[in-house]
Amino acid sequence: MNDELPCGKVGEERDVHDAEGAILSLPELVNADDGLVRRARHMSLTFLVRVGEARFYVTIAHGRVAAVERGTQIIRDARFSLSAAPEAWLDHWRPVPKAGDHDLLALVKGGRAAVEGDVMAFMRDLQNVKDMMAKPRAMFLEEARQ
Amino acid sequence: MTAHIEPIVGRYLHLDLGGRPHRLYFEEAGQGIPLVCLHTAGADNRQWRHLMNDPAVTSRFRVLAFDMPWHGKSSPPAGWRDEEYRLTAESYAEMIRTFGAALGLERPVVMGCSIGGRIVVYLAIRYAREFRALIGLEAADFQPHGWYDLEWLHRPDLHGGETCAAVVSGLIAPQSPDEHRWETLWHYMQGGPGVFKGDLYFYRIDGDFRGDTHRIDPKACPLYLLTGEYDFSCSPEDTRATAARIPGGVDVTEMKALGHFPMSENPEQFRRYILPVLEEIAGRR
Repeated sequence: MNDELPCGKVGEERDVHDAEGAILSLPELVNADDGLVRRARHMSLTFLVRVGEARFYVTIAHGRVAAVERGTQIIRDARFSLSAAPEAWLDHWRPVPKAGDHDLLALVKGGRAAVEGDVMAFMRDLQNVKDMMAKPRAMFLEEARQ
Repeated sequence: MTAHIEPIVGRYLHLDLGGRPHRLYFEEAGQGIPLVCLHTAGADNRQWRHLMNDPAVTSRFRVLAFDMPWHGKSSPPAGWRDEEYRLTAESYAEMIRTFGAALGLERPVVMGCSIGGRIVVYLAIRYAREFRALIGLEAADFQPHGWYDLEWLHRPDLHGGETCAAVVSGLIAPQSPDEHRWETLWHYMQGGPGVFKGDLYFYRIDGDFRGDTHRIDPKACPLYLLTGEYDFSCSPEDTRATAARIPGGVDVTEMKALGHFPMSENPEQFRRYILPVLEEIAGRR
C-alpha cells in the first residue's frame, strides 16, 4: 500500500456523506469477495452500524450482505451494534490507516468505537465482521486512483 | 521454484520443568553466539523461521527457538487434562534457563517477543549476568488488566483457534504482506485449547514488574527494546514508559510499519531493525 496517492479524496477531505455512502455500499463490496462470503457462510443476522447519529441495519444472509437499510425506526432489533463517529470510520478506511485506526478492535480499545449487544454473535464471526467493515478502504483507494 | 532444503534442524529435548518431565521441541540454525528466540503467546517457534534462514544472522549466531510446553510440537506434561494451563513469570524464566543449561549454552543472547519480551524484562531484573545481551520486542514491564475478557479465548461454543487469530489479527501492521500476515495468524489458529489464554495469565496477571524495573542494570547486561508502530497490545508508549523506569534509561526503537509480530509478519522490514542490533552485540565479543 502507498500512503501518497496521486489524486482523489483521501482522509480529511472526506465527510459524513462519504462514511454513510460507504456503509450503503457494503452489499456490492462484500458480495464481490467470494472468499469472504465463503468464510462467513454460517453468518446470518442483522447488526446495527452507527455512523455518528445515523443508523444502518446490515442484514447478512449466509455470508452475503442481503440489505443495508438506513434506520428511521428507533425500536428495531439487531444482534449487536458497532458505533463510531464518521471521522473514526473514515480514518479506519484510509489507504494506510494510522496506528490505532487500522483495526476495529484497535478503535474499540482506543475509545473511538464501541461494540454492544450480543457480543457472542460478534465474537463468533469476529474476523468476518472486521473484514466486512474494512471493505470501504479498498473502495476509497480505488476512487483515489481514478 | 527450485526444490531446496532449509538449514533449520529440529530436535526434541527431554528435561524437567517445575519438577515434571517434559518433551520440548526446538529448532536451530547457524553457528556462533547462542541466540535463544522466544515466540509470542499462543504461537510457536515457526515465527522465527525467517531469521533462522537469514545468512546475515546465522553466519555469526547459533539461533535456537523452542516451542514452549503446550505449544507447537512440544507436549503438555502428563496429566494436563486435569489442570488449567497458566504461565507464570518464574516458570517461564526457569524454562529459558533450564533450556540453556541443558544445551550448554554459554551466556546466550535472549530475544523474546510479546510475552517473550515481557520475560526478557524479568530476566534483566533477576538474572542479567547469565546473559550476553537481552532483546525485548514488543516488551513492557506491565500490561493493564483486561480490555477484553479472556474467557472468549477458550469456550466450547466458539472456535478457539479462529477466535484467537481474529483477536490478534489487528496487531499486525497494515503494510505487512498478506502471505506473512496469514501465516502468522495460521499459527494462532493451530494453538491448543486454552493455551493462548494460559499464556496471557502471565501477560496480564503475573507479569507486573513495575516495582522492580528500577533494578535493571544495562551495564551488567545490554538491553535492547524495539516495538512496532502498530502494536496496540504493547504500544511503543508502553515500552517507552518501561524504559523510563530503568536507571539511566534505555533507548527504545519504534519500528515503523510493523506490529506485534515483527519477525513473522514482515521479515524484510524487521531485519532492517534487528540486524544493526545483532551487529552491535557481535561486536561486543
